[in-house]
Amino acid sequence: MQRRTILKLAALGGIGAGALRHADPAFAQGAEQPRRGGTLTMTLTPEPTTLFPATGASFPIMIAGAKMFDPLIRLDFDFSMKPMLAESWDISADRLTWTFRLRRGVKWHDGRDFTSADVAFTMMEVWKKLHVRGRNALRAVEAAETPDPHTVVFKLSAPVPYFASVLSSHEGVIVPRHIYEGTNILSNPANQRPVGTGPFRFREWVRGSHIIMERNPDYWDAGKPYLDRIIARIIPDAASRAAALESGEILLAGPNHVPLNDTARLGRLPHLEVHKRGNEYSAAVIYLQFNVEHPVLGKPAVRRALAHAVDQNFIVQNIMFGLGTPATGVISPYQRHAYTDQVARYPLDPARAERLLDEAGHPRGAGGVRFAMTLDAYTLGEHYVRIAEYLREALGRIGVRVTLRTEEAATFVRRVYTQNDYEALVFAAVLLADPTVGLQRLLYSGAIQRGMAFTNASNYRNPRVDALFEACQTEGDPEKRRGYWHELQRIVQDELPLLALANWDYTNISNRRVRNFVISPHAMFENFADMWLAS
Amino acid sequence: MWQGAITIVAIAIFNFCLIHMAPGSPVDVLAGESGTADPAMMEELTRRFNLDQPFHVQLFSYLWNMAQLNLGQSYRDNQPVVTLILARLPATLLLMASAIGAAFLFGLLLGVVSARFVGRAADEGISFFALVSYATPTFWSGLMLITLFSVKLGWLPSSGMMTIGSDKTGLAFMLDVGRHLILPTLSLSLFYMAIYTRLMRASMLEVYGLDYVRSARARGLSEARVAFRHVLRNALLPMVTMVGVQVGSILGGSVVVETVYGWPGLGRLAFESVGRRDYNLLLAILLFSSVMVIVTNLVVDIIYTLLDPRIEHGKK
Repeated sequence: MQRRTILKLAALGGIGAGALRHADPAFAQGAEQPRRGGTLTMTLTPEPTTLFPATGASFPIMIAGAKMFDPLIRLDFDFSMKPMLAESWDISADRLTWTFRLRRGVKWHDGRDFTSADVAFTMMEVWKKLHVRGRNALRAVEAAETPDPHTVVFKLSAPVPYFASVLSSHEGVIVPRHIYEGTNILSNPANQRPVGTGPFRFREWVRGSHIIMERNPDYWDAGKPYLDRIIARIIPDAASRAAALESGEILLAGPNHVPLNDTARLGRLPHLEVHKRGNEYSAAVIYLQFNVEHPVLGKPAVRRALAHAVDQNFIVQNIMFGLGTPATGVISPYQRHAYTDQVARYPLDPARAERLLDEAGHPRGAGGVRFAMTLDAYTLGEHYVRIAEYLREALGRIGVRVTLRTEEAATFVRRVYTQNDYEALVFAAVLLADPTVGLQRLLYSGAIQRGMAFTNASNYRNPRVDALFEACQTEGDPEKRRGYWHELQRIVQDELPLLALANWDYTNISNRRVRNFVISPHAMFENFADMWLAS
Repeated sequence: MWQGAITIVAIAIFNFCLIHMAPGSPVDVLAGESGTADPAMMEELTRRFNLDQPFHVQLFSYLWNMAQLNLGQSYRDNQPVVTLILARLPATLLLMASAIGAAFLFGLLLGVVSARFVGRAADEGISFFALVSYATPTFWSGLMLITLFSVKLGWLPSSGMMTIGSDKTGLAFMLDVGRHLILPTLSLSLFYMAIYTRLMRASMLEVYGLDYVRSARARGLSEARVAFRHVLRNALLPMVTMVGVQVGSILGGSVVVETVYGWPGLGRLAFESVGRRDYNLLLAILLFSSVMVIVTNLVVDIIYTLLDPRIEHGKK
């Protein structure tokens, strides 16, 4: 019975194996014997601010942290739960009590024993209070009980359908209570020299240059890790990172570490390999976001007209170099348990776009211009700016005069999310394993919060959409939940506060010497215990 | 001395005002990078960084701390800014010294050769080379050098300051750093070398036309002796002035080179702290730089007296 519950949850969590479109050569070479030793050099960008990974604050921290800290469980490609620090688990029938039995004999890097007290501390004092997504996602967790040093029981006030995904892998790493209890966690000096239970131990961090992590000989998974050492190099310039991959100085680069045009070029080199697989968990979508309080862009009819002027294929082929697919709606097809393509479509049809704008009361005026708008682009990625430039041309053809504005990241965030002083913008959101965790903040009316980055800056309010989000937070039946998500996609695709432009395939690039890189949907965020280097 | 101190305080106030005029705060940047943030956390950070205080209070507490030589903590790294700066300083000084040294030396050589053979093929060739070097953007020449020497030929490392984790010591370590230093030095020095070449050539030619050179030749001195003993020494004065002035600007130029080559120096730290609105760190770097420029000017003044004993200091 328990087993079935787990399988059901797994199905709820996500992505079936059928989503894996690209065969991974590492698997075909499965007959090879792993080789011990060697140093993996990888890129890490931008430089982390701290090495405390349990707040989920940014990609580089989580990528580095995942090698030094373990979670309770990890997720497989089918999003089923696999043991890590927890060896087994029971989930009560009402899914309000989750009991995890912990692995024995696990030691922190400083030699102290790992116990259930560490898990309870991490849940109650770290994730619930400091984790950027956990604060909301784990609201229903009322207690973490520790009946003995090797058992931890989470008591929930309501079911959390995506609980497993919040606990798993880099999102849910466990930190040592004996170091953090009673201190200011975020400014604890240990954040510069972390102590975890993971397969690699911290050795040094030379700011602006590199972080070195060394093999943990006492790791609980005997014989692993295979690598002696991981060197994470901080190379600030994207073109230089590409050159270092090409010359073989760097063996591995994570998502967005190399610009899209270089990714396509490097993929053609014999010694390098571009992986789309292993980023399913990240599910990124690029959006054109509208401020619905704008007098013209506030009309759904106008937004639908603009959608007919945009050629998604052009964006995918020429700006993203094929590293994506045209989007059908706000939810990524990687989120198979929620996605549907049965929604309104807006095929490229400039004539129809012009007719719709005429009908909406915006005929061409002086100089053929219907109205003018300002378009912002998030500048932490060159392709956002390229897409905005394309949109300026495409919308110009139907008589909408677009002025581009590209400001550096801090100014952008202040303008959009604090001052809400924008009309439309191009950006991407990472939707993670479930829309409740990744998408709700962009469309829920309760997420219209000034001063809070990457929230509902559209000012979109729809009571039905709000109700659907609320229902999905606690609905336990996967089929009912799927129905809610489908309805939500249809409504949003009719009203278009967010016009999804493209599903963006995150990619990692590895040297062919690197084996066992993509072994889960977390790829770069894995702990690398299984990774080895061919000679 | 007093003049220097007043200059530094004025620079500090000016920097402080300028930085706080930029929209966005360190808290916005941290929120932007995380992709999510919640108001309680942003408030907590704002309080921790003292950004909830009125502007004049922040300014006075900054100046007061500075007077006590306390430059504060980096918002981002949770470390004293002095620690961060001192960790980066050797890398920057090394790169600057080698770039200025190379630019000065080769600029001087090429300038002298050019002036000696003015109007001939060597002069034409050098002038062309200098013009191309002058016109090439640093980031582009940097990337081209990487493509050629690291990717295609595989002779030199493409980035970093040393082979990380190799644990080399002594001579092996120095050679390793030297190998990493070649490309950044070349990129950074090309532009300055071009300036010095042209300057040296013009300056030499000017001195060649002076009466005492003609009289030296009339006394039957060899052409080489005239060039090095009589012309070069006097032609050097404008060069030294120029180098002194450019020490500040080479720090700016090193931002690009340090970024392209992943060189862990101060220029990059400054550039990144602008984007991150790490006020304390940026202010401290600017302060360090202004001190550095003032010190350089002092050194240049001393070199003057060595080159030309007629120049004296402290006398009116």
